[in-house]
Amino acid sequence: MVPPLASLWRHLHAGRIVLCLRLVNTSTCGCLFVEYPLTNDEPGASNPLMTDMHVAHCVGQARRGSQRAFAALYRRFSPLVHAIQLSRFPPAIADELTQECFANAFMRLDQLQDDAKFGGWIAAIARRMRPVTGVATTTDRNLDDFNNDGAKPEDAAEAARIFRAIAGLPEAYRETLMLRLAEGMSGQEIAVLTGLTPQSVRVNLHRGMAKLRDALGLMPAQSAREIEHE
Amino acid sequence: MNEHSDPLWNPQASADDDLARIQRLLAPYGVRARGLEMPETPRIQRRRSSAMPWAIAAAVALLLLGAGYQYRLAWTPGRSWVAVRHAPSASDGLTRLSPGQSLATASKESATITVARIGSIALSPDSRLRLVQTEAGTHRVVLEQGHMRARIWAPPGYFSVRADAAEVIDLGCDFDLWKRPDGSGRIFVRSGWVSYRAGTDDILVPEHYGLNFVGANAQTPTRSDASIAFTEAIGALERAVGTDGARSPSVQTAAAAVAHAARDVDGFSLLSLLSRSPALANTELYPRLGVALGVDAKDPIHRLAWEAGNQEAIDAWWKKMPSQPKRWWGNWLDVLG
Repeated sequence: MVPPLASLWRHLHAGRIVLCLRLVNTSTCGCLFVEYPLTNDEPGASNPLMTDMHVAHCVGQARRGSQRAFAALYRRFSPLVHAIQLSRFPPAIADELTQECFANAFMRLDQLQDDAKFGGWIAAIARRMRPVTGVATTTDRNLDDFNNDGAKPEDAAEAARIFRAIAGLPEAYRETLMLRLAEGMSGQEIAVLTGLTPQSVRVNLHRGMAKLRDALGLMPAQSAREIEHE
Repeated sequence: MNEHSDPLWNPQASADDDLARIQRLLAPYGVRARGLEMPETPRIQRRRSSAMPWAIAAAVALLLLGAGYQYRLAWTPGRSWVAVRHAPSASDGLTRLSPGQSLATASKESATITVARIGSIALSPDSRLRLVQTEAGTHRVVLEQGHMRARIWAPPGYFSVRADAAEVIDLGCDFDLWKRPDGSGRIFVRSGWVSYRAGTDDILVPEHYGLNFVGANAQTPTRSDASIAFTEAIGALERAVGTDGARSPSVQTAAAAVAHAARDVDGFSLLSLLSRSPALANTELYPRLGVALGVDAKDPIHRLAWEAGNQEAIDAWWKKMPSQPKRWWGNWLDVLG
């Protein structure tokens, strides 16, 4: 799939595209590939230009030892993996497991059969990961686990309470809410990253948020009621 | 509420106080907000294309083969050959053989002669060989008497031996040649093919076949394990053809005897007979050869064409032979001999 020319041009002007077009065996298929920018300052959690084809390309490059390609995959999928971990474990543990998950995935890339399915593959790895024995889940942790650099103690305490509430929700709601609330992703970006339909993401967000509000003792939002009526 | 104005779907949209507060409290825990770096990954050895080393190796091997092949066939005109005499009573004696020179072996003495770079000749006791010409592509000797065995691995025609009126041309093979003082002799091919030429007579001899000759007159090649009845029947047929003509009743009878005595493995003898005397196609040799080669011999047009000496008709059956003279390079084992 080739991105629209206008979009390409916009990204070219923004200096995001490093390598643009590469002709691959034009005599037989005339296929155009867009080399996804592998710069370190790429903004945004998920670039809409990074299609399955680009993911597969990066996986292929990473499998051949390209650190830059793997960095691109990390930038693209680390919010997903981190959100999965954050929905189960305290932030510090989630950070460690996220890095461990990518390190494991990097070493096991040969086991991935369909390169375009890297997202689903690493998400499955992330869901199977557990911290070392003795480390408890979010619901069991104390306030120190939620301390963040520069955060006020009362904010950390409130964040810990929200995390615990989210940890008590069904898995589908937990991960979607973490992607939205902690990773700052839009519903559309979550749908692209997780492979869920936009409608499923919307339902998960609203039902999950309604349950979270309920768990936190907050008033239901108008939008949640609308979704419930749909 | 559409997606654009839905604050849960679109983080840029205006959110209620509770959602805004939850976003503000959780945002610092996101992967980017926490500045989570990519993990240190072991640097994978960049795998080179596995095809490349093989392609390079193949190219180098081809280059070496090509260079070796050219070197093997190259030879300065007139440059002498190396010969080693082997006598039981003395140590081996090294000598050189230049064009025009002869090498004779005494009884109980033999010699090994290196034929440029394309092979060797083993000269038996009581034999005499003369080098006539040597240069790249043309190496000619005369076997004046005795026996020699030549092992040659080179394109057809690079090496030849004159024996009286005939010339034995190597087509890339391993063969023996006997020459008696009375002008008679024999060729036996161990591997590959040779061509026996005397005047307009050109007889191909494949491996495991031998050919007797007297001066320029050569007999039909027969297998080394051919029955006496078969070789005698061939001799009788050749005599009948020589005296009575190919269409005489005596030839028909003699040809029937040959066909009767022939085995399938004697097919080349029949083919040689029919090629040298196409008129014999009206005898029983023709259907017998068809059986030996496993081809349909009931086509009257083909038979008539053969009888008339049509080369195309003859070649059609020649191509049924399991090995062809042009495959000289397949006899590479001769090089190791």
